[in-house]
Amino acid sequence: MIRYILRRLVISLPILFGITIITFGVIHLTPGGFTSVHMDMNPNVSPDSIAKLQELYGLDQPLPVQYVKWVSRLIRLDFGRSFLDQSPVIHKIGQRLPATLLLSGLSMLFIFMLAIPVGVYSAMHHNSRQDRVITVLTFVGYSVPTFWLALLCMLLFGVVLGWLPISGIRSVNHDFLGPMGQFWDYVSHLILPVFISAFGGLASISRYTRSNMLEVVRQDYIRTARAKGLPRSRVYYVHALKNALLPIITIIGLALPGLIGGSFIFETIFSWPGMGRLAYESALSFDYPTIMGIAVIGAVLVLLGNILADVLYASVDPRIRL
Amino acid sequence: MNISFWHKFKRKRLAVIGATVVLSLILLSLAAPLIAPCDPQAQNLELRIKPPSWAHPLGTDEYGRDVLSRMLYGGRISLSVGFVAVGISLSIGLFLGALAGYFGGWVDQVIMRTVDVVLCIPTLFLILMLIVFLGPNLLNIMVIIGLTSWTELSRLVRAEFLTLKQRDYVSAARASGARDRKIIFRHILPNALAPVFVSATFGIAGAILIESGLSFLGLGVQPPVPSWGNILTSGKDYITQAWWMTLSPGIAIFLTVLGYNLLGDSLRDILDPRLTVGDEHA
Amino acid sequence: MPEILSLRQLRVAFPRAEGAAVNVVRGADLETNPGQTLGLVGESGSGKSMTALAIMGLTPFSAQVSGSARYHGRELVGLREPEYEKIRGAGISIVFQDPSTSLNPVLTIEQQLLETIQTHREISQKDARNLAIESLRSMDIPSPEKRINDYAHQLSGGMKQRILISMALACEPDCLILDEPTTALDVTVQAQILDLVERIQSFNQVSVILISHDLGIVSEISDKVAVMYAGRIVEQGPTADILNVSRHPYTRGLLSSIPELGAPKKTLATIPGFPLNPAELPSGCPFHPRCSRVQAICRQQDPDIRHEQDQAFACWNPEPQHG
Repeated sequence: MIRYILRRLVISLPILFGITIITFGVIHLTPGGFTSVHMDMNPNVSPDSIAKLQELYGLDQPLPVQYVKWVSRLIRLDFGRSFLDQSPVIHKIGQRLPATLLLSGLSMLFIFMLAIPVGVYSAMHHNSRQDRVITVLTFVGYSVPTFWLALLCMLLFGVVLGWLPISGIRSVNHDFLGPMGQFWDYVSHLILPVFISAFGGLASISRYTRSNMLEVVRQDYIRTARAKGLPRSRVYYVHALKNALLPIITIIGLALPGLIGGSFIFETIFSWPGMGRLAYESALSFDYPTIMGIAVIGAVLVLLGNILADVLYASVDPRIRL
Repeated sequence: MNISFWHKFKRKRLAVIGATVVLSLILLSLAAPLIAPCDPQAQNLELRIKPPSWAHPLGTDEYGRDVLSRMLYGGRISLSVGFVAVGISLSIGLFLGALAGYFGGWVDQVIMRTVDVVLCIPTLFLILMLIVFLGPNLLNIMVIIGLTSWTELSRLVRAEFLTLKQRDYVSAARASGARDRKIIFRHILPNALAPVFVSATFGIAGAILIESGLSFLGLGVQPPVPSWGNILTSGKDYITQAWWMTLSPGIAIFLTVLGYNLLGDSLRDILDPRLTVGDEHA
Repeated sequence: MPEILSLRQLRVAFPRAEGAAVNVVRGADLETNPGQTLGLVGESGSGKSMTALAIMGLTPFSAQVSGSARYHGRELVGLREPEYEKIRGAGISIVFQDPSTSLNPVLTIEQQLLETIQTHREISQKDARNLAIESLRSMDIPSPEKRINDYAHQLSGGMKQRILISMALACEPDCLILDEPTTALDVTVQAQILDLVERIQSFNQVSVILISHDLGIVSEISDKVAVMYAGRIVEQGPTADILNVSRHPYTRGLLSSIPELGAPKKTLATIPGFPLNPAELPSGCPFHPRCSRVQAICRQQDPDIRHEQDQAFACWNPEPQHG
């Protein structure tokens, strides 16, 4: 197992290399060089920070040299300093990462706890009225622009009904609440963001579970299980579900880029103090070092997520030995 | 597209609904200059934030512009973002996928490892970065969405090519001395198009969603040019007093995306007989 | 002797959205007796597997089963699912063609054996396990207490088929259906499995239905043989009679296409034409387009079953009894 993980990490190195090349390429795409454009419009940029940026990338030097210098700093987790407040980018990201992980983790949990039972139910009642209703709902789920839904939910639950807070991770009076009050304060701030960021995933994972179940149910071993006289519930929930769930583990890995990438929309809407909102803020203020840092860190997270999903898959599927 | 295709298509209610929605939205956008009651950019400060009326069926916005006219013209922008972006990702995905699947070997390795790398970078982050660096205008947005969404498609095309190139008729063509280019374009590509077509349909829905999301964050098509995303965005500040400003673009985006998704899903069912369920054991 | 299973005019049809329903089994009559093996022979698409599925109540969702199938006198057609579950695995068991896909890949052999035993019997985990190991041992599986922890992918095809047979027999049913049990296996393994089947039938007084496309295999271990063509049983009788004095031209055709060991080399006879598509049956006797003894009436009317001595056959112009 450990050997497998190590091997995967080693295999990931070229991918990581590719990621740095793409990000490096993206910076140099900027017409006229990225220190020139936008800089004049950006009040946060002092001549001093331009000089720092030029030092970070060694802009006077040939491209390969610039790249090597940049990567050698990346390895030491030196992403440079933010234009906004001159603090190290790595600290900024470090402060924001937990909130993003909390939000994506909880939405992921929510997605799987709701979508899998719904998908199984839908498959068990294949072509019934309930199945059709669920199918229509999943299409609605795919197609609703989530930011719009977020807006409507904020209006309904936050403004009209006043049940839930609509922004931030805790209330202004958080520090004055008791332990239960503080806990509820966090929970109530989480409900809308988790629900909204899970929304699209709910639809696709339940649809995926459904089609997987329908596929598995056609297999010979399901017929064997029924021929042995097992009750229908056992045939479905043990024999079929266990096989249908395996590929869904891989989906966790694949869903990660979407969740992390989507986080900047949800976090912005809900003023959630996470990495996504940081990316958005940095984008608006042309804070290049921070954006680049987030892109690299985000990609690394995705890479690790994929490895995690594969390890998980291998440990659940008896046919794969690590 | 043969008779049996249309026959199956017509029997699928969701397919017909999807196609109707998609077609009518395309027609409405095309006809925008003919049917729009007002100039979408004409301001009238006396008519600021007015609810729907006979003169302005979808109300007016904060500059007194007619929301219906802006919606019709915005549809042109949103739909063209969808089509152009998918056109770009389709060309890249088809080209690279075909190369990788047909030639295999190191070509395949290089292309597919590149795909792995691009897939690791969260697409929306990549788009965000590129838009910040290159500037948010219509052309950039279309190109950037296109440039960042070809990876899945190239995997799909590669897989199709891998299976199709083993077919007897391809071997026969090769044995009779056909050149690679002819084999690819005449013998393999036409047969690989069905899943590509399905994926492209979903892709249009995705691109429209991405553009509206970007607009929502102020990084999409820039005002005063109307797009559904930025109509929605400008409406969100007035959401408590002027619901019509967010409702119509929200519903338009939803319907369009729903239409393409329904269409894509039905096409997949029709074109991929393997997925036709009916002989399950349980 | 009371029969264990008796089929009367059993039919399986698949309705179509357009056009008439496809009749896959068109009125099958069969009986099985304790300790006897019945061989059910036919080409692919002849309806023999669908007959087995209809007995088990495992026909696909869209199939319509009619007629009668009685197990110890109890009607199975239309039986409610919970009642059927009590009979499956405990009264009638079935082993399917392909052992490589018939075991659940993510459950251990132990889990799959024990769930079968514990579904049908009130028995402790420990006793069930011992029973499972014993039943594996009786199928000649070496070191069963180790194999029982394996997953399907760790076992060979022959081993999997033994496990599936022991799983089918674990709750001591008195009727065992084997649907092409050796088709997917190597020739040497085939022989071992057939030996096993013979032993099961003689020791346990189980009535076995052996389904195969290979009349050679069937005739080796069957007491009775039934030949199926286009959803009908066109001929049945004691194995010796079927081998020596078969009356239906189709049975004759099958017999002459069995290679004889040690016989002088000659070209094997084949039956001209192709196996039928049940959706497009010809008029009259469905075998007439391929039949060498075809007459005018064969093209117009499907013959009824005729009984002569121990044999039953459906043919307008049967082969002579001594020929």
